[in-house]
Amino acid sequence: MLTNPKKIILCVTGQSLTAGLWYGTKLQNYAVFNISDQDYAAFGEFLALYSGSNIYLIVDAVEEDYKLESIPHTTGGARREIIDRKLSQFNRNSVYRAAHFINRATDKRKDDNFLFVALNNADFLQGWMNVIQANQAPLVGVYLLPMLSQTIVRQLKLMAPHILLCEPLSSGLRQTYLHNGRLRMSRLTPMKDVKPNQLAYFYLVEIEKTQRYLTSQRLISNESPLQLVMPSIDDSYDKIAKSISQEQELEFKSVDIFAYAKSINISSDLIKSHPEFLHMQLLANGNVPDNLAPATFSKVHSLNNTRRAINIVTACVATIGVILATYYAWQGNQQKDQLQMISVQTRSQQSQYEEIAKNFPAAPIPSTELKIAAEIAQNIKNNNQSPRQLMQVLSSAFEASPEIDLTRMRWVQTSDREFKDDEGGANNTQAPAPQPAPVVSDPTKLVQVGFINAEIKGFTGDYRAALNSVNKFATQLRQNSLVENVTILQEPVNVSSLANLQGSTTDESATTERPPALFKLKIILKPIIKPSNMAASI
Amino acid sequence: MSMTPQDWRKLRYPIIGLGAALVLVGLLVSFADQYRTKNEMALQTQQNALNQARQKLQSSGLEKEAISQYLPIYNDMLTNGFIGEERRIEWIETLRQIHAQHKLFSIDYSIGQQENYKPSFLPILGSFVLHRSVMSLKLDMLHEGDMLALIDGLQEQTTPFIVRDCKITRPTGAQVNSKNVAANMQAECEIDWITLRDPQLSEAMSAGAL
Repeated sequence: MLTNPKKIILCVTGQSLTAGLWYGTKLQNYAVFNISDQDYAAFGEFLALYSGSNIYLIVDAVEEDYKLESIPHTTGGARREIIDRKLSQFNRNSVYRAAHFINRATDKRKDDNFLFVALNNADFLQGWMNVIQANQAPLVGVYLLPMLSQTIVRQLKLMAPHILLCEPLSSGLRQTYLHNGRLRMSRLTPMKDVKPNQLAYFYLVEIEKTQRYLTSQRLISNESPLQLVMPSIDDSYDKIAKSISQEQELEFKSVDIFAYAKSINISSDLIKSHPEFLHMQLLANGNVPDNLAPATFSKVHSLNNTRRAINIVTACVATIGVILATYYAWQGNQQKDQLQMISVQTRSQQSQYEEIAKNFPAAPIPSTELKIAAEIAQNIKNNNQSPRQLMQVLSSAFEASPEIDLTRMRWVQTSDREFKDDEGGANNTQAPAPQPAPVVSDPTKLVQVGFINAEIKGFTGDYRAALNSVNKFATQLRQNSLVENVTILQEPVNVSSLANLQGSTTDESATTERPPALFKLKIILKPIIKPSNMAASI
Repeated sequence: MSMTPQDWRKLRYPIIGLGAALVLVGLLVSFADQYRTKNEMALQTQQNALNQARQKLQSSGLEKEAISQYLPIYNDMLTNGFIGEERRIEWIETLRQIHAQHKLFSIDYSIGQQENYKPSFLPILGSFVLHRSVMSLKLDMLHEGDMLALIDGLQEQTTPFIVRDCKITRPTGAQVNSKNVAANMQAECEIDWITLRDPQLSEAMSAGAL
């Protein structure tokens, strides 16, 4: 489910393919295949033997193209779009191409410097690619060998600004020019027909050619201190390098390639016979450069990755779910145990209570309900008033005001102090007198509210006297200690500026029948607090 | 990179596996959560029951006192008709007795249909249900004392009631004639006859438990 530790790293040259099987960073097995139908079949069998292992393909070819380009600094989709356009301009016909980021320019524009690399001719590769695709092998990518040479220079900490790395490989002499440790150009020269005694001359000629090419491309000037770096495979190479450096006036640096190979976990004996294993090992160690192959070539690998990601998500979901469910179930069990414990305690308490309750008097309902029933009855009893109190209050007031005659009385027991008497209103046009601000009612207490309709006896049309009589009567009521509030709801005559007033100046002396001087009052009595003597009163 | 049907076929089993894992894990977690929630609620309920049982045990002494204090009162209420069925016949008989005893003019009465009653002055009813029947009384009176005599007479019977509304009217300008025995004024009153019912007790009684 997790990443397969096995990987196959291939190195393809114009003549052969070297295939190595790595487990992690340790080379397990390798084979060399030549360009022939038989070897293609053998290579297919090799892939089938290790099916499922990711495949990395290194190309070591003469037909390489390098071009340094600066493009405006952008990010995201715009950057990809510019790079794709530049790649098309750079090498339209090549399938294998890539843009390798070098650095950002130090000028004001700070453009991005890219090295565009491509394989001009990939015919030698096609046979091997067909085998890979026929086996549905998961190809991760196609890489240029000099891009791994760049890693060698970086890991060897070679800091010279202009380096020409000369590597004798199975395919020939690989010369790689690096500026400030960054790859700028590389060329491979086959050494098929070079005899051992011509090797020094061959090296001299090829390095001189490369120097001239670099100068012509203005990658270096005549004054640039070019450092020649060569691996010390044996004494003969050291001698060749020294003679070339003296001849060309180049600074020479020999590199102990076997020590380096040991440090990156590859056998020095293998490097002697197959120098390209150094680059393959670097890739196995995780130094993966830019991929030249289009996405369609690595589709199987992408699908494998997607499958792997889905499987990982599935495993995570299942694991988290099981952990969560286990945790919930554990909590549930804990609660169940607690529940049983509390149930035992409850039963114990209940049995103790039942033991005590055996001595209780037999009651049809719980004691709390008994108490509530008694309280309800007591409360009703406390609120059971009669109009007697209001009558007493009115009686004493009427005695002091004999000119007033009662025509109607209403007594109401209510919790609403704002209770209105809809009936018994006078049918004249007199507007009600202004009323005081309402008192907030307590809905849990009943109050006695009285309404009286009365008239002035022997009314002669003297409104002033009638008003005085009503006010005196109301004052008399208010003075009673049982009265909480008295409101004049209607006066014999409405003298308010907000109402119409009409009559005749002959009203007082007229002998014709006059309208009676009616008025209406509202009286609220103070609540009576009865002592709560429940047992005695019920 | 475009996906072909063949590519999708390669991803079929991992996707089905993921879907199945999501469904199974969802069901598993859901069941476990339900199990936990059910036990949690049961635990809470049981804890409340334990607290109530403890409280009941601790207050058993007070409960005994309360039963001793309120049971006689409760039995009285059952006897006098405050708890249970209305005793309308007794109310009417009481009215007739008052009429005869005080030599009142005719008393017209009407008792309305019994209804549920939730007065604001009785906020705590426990499990009881309060009912009332409104009795409207109308009587001619020689003087105001007739109405007070009627109400006082009703007070002597046992079912609790509340006199809610009383009106006395006299024609404008009418004079009390003390020589002739004739009605000088008229009274109208509304009385709420209140009864109490315990639903639990009613059920038990109907089941023949008591």
